[in-house]
Amino acid sequence: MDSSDEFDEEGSLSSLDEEEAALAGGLSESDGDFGEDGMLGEDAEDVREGGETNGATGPAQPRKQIYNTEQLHDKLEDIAWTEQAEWLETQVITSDSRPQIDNVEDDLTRELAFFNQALDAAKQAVGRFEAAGVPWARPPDYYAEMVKSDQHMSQVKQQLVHQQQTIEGADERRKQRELKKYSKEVQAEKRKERAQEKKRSIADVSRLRKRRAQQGYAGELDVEAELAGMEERRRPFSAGERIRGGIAKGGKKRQAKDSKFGFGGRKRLGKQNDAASAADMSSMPGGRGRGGFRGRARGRGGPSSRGRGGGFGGAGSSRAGGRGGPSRGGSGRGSGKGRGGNRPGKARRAASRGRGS
Amino acid sequence: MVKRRAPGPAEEPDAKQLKTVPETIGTQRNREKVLILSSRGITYRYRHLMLDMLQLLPHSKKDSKLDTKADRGIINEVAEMKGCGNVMFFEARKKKDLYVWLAKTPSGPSVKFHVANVHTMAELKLSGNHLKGSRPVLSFDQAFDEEPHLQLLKEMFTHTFATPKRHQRSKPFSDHVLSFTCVDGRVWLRNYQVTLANTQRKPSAEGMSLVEVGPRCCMDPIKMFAGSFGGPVLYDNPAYVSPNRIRAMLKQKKMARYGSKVQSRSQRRTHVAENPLPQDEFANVFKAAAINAL
Repeated sequence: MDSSDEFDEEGSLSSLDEEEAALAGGLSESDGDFGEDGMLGEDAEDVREGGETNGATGPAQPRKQIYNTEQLHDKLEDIAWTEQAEWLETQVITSDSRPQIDNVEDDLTRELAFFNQALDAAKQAVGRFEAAGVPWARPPDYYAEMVKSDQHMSQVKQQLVHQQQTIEGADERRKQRELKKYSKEVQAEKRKERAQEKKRSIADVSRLRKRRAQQGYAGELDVEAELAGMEERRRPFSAGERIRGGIAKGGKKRQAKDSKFGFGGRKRLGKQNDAASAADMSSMPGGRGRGGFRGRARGRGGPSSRGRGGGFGGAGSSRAGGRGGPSRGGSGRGSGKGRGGNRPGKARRAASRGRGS
Repeated sequence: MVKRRAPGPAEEPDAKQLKTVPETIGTQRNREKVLILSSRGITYRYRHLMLDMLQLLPHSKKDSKLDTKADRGIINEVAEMKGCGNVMFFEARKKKDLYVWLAKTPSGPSVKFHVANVHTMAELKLSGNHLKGSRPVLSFDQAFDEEPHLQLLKEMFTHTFATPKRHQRSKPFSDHVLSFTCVDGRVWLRNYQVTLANTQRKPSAEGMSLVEVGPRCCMDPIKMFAGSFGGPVLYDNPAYVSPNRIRAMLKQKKMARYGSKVQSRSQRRTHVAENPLPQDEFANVFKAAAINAL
């Protein structure tokens, strides 16, 4: 809880108090009409001179501190019953330490000290309740009137939500501001780059013209090719090329992945049936495909058959690259591996279109 | 299958008796009642504080505003009529200062506090809530056991704020803590709700936390009297400065500021008059040049 600004009057009032206490230095009270003050001090046995604030610059007479210990004790004895009573009658917990507060005006440390004292007391009290076997916690289904009404509590909740929202809103706005700043920078960068590009291409053209002039305008001029060549010399690798160069050297796996995921060819319809694959009944159990059923049954049997392209049932077709029954055996039970390669029709299509590896 | 022996009729009352018989110590019962009333001219904030106290203390009774300012002896009579042994009297002055009297009637002692930094339960920043009439745990800091006047204060606070067990308007649970802390010679009052961690099935002290419910205030003891609302003074706080005095000092300070301003102004005037600037021989050079040019 941020008590420093929410309870602003607290600090200011107490600081006033402090300051003026130092200034006033034990001045006599000006508004006191303590009815029967006549006897004060007369029978006081333990009258001490005023505290530390006395004897300062105050012009008035320092007020005598009255501290009648004996009578205080007498009075306490007269009225006291809490010591004799059972603890449960009063539920008083006195802590065994003084709060550590260096500066009373520091709201945060002061409130924290109070909080800790109360928390300690609550814990001790729970211990005592439990030792006495007394139920102390309100059961969750015990509904009764509270000190603050539901309406008030909803207001409190609203306030909390509102606070949260203002914080979040401020955050959001700040972020937007920063983003705007950043995007402005990016845009400026882009504009600069575009200008540079333009300048460069103009320079290229003029250089080409110069070169042509030197060569005496010999031969056919392919402007596009020349300019591209110049561009090429400036940038040894364009983004796509660098990777494509790597692919040529890539292994089988890379090639398979490329054929499946990218770099040329149709992408979306790769898994779709076409007329030929739809007519292919070899994978159907009990159909004409000899290996179908047996192969699948076997293929599901265990891990030993995985990745082999099927069981022994479809011996012939399994060697042919996994079409029909054996291929289903191979991809059965979600093994996942080698699925792309064994997909019916894929290899055939790839071969027929002269694409892929 | 082993049959369990049903508890015999002879055993049961014994067990019950063991439970219900109170411990032998602690023969005293808490039967305190508190009369809460205010003087006329109380402002809304202080009235709200008083009403909050009424809510916190199910064993309290409210009476109408006291009309007279001089004769506080009447309060004793009112308390007697209401059957209350404790009085909490909210005395407002000048529509801005609040004094609270805490007294044992009819034979004393009594304390007069100056109350500042009042925050009531109605404030939205204090987000806790607890059962109305649940019995509070009173928490005091160590100072209340060490100094005689604080010992007496603790006893009086206990009488006033501890809700009697099995009071008809109380509820048999404890879900809040009233804490009294003595700092800087003043007593700071706070009221916290005890919240438990939801995860545990059985309520325990683990994961316990507090949320402030209010009200909160800071009570500066001014004087303690042997009687109820009067009598010999047992204690007089030398550090106490009345709010009137504080305001007067502030005004004086302001006055001093104005005085010094006036003084410095007049000083400057006399200084300037006493030390005239020497004649500057080049003062008219450019003016002369301009005239010549014309």
